[in-house]
Amino acid sequence: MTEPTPDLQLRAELQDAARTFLDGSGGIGPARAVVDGEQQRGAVPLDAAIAELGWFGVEVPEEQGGLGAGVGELVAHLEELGRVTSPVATLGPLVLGIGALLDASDEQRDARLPAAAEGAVRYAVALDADGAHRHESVHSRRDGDGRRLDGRAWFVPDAETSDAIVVATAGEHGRELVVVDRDAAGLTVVPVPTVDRTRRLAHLELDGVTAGADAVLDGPGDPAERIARLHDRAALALAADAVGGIERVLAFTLEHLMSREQFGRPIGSFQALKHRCSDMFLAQEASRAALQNAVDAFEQGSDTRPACSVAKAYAGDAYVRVAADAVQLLGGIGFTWEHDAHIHLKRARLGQSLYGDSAWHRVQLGRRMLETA
Amino acid sequence: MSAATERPTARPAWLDASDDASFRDGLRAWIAANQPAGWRERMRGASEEDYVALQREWFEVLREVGLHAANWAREWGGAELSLIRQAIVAEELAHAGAPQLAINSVALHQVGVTLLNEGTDAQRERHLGAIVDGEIWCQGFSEPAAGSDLAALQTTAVATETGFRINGQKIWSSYAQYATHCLLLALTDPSAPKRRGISALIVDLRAPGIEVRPIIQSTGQSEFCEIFLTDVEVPRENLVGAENDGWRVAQRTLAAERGVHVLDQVERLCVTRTLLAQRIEALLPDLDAAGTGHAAREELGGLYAETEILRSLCWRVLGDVEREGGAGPEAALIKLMYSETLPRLADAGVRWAGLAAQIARPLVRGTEWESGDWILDYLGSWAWTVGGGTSEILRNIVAERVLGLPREPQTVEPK
Repeated sequence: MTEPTPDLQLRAELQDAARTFLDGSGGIGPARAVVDGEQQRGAVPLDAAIAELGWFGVEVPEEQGGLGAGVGELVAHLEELGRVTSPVATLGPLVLGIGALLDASDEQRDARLPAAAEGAVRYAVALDADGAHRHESVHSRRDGDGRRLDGRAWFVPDAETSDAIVVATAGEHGRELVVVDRDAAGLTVVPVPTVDRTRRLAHLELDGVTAGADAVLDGPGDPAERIARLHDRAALALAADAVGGIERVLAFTLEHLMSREQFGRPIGSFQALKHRCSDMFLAQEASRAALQNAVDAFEQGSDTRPACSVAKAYAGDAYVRVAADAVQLLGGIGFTWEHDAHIHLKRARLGQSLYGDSAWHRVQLGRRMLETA
Repeated sequence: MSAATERPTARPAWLDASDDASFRDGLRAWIAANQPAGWRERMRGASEEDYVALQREWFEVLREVGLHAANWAREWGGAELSLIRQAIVAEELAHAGAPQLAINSVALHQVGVTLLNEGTDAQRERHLGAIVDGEIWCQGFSEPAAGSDLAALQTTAVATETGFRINGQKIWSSYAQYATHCLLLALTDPSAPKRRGISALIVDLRAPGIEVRPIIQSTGQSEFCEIFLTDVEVPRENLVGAENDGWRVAQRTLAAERGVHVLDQVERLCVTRTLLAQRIEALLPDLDAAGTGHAAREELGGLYAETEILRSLCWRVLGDVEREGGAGPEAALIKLMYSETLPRLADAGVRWAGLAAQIARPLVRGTEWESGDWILDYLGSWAWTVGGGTSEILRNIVAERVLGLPREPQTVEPK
């Protein structure tokens, strides 16, 4: 689908509003509650709030009850969520679920988008590869007009709290995206506790799960390409998460270096530490640029794949590096549970491995260069 | 000097073997026969009680042959091994995947060497035998405002009729929650120039006025603590070294942190790299299909090279110590390189093992940075780049004391 014309003023306003809302809701507080074990797995209180604010409708056309904005505006929200390592379920339903529906046929869009835009029906998406580690696709075969699904999917974001799951399948109909109800018979959702407690992943087991004909998300274009675009969206989302996170990490690192004194002066006055901060800032700016390039590719209708790989690989690595540098520069306190640094570092590490590790993305980029050389 | 306690068991012949190869053979057989079976499974998610029990159990087994204190004199209950043989012990224990003695390590290494060289006869008599029998110590050095700038410490020890009254706060004290004794630095003369008013004192942690609070680390473990001291009375005979000479005493303690203990960890890295190789091997079909297999091979080879070099550096420095009785500032290079190689190795494990490495698992207590839980080993690695002297400070030491580069101009008058 084509992106709407970018409106940078709207984007800035939306980003401000998102930041104000999240800061007013405790900033990193909700993430801390989950990390510290005070908030159990399952829906986080803010999940309902962002639905009410219309965040699920950002990219949904006005005719289907949304704001009619585009990927740039989505990214603005994702940066803010990344800044506070928000545990709100967005990677699944907001990034991938809405993305799968936007690329579907007109009938499917009319049928499903209005409820999705309100956050009333949340769709997780189970893809079948995460870059280097390929899995066998969930197998699909004919079942009357519909489909019968068997197999497994791994590390699916937000499956536990979703209302429906879009599953990428392979089988007699080739590649497809099939919607399965969260409480479908034969579907087992197995929560996977991760070291990064701000994200919720689950494995899926499908044992003779049936779906009607209208559950097949057909749409214009090749299904394999639609699936690939979902990977692009995921990569973009993780890059946005990284950019937001890097900004906060750099900010609290600078604050520390300016206030902590040793040897009679602020430790930020030591050249070695200044240089590290400059490098962190460079990583921030470069990640922002890469993210913007990827957004531009969507908006200009050009090839999103390389731009998303660049952003994912670079910003993903940068986030880990910046968070790790922060832990070092913070000294002893950076090593403690009490400080937020480890929350960012753990989120950065998970993000680095999801939807293609950096090495995998760089290989894709290298291959492209060689093909066109 | 006399031994504080009797050793119950006979010394096995291989401990005194004339050649190192026979020593190694005997040691290897002993480890195989005596290492606690299945301890890693037992220690996964183990309770505090079970963890302490395993530490005690392994301590007792090593003690039978003096290997818990391999470098200590026989009269103090150690194995009195040459440096080369101490290194062989480190190698063999590491490669056998034996547990690490964590809780007793401060007592056995840092405090032991300090008391041996700086302690009074009474202090050595009272504590060295006890340490070798399992008395647990912690260090009370760093404070919230005195980390890299340790000499800026503010805990005071005011003279009283019987000794000193201590007030202040210590932080990052490893294993203090298990310790009965603390080697503490405090200001006995706050008006003296920086470093010249500090004394080293033995503090019994069971005295009134002491609160020990464990600090939770990013890994979820609590291996170090805050210590709060309020009007803690300490007898005068607990001074280690002369009054106001504590800074010099502390240098010895700090240097001991970087000694053979690092060799233990370096050898354990070899175990970790094997784990990494095994992991990558299992994943190679996937990695090759994805086109990243060669990158994995190259990185693995690079890490192998790095760890081999680190081992060689360690052995070289050990050789210097044996020949010349001490290692110069070059020893800082070992910690510097180890503390950077460790996170690189763990980071490679996190990346190549992929999402499987992100799954949360209960900690295996008793492993230190070589559990094979890549992300926990990675998170734990900052204990080395920050603890015991930050890598930044160590680089300054190398630059200024080894390479002779000029110090940065001082902009503030030292106290």
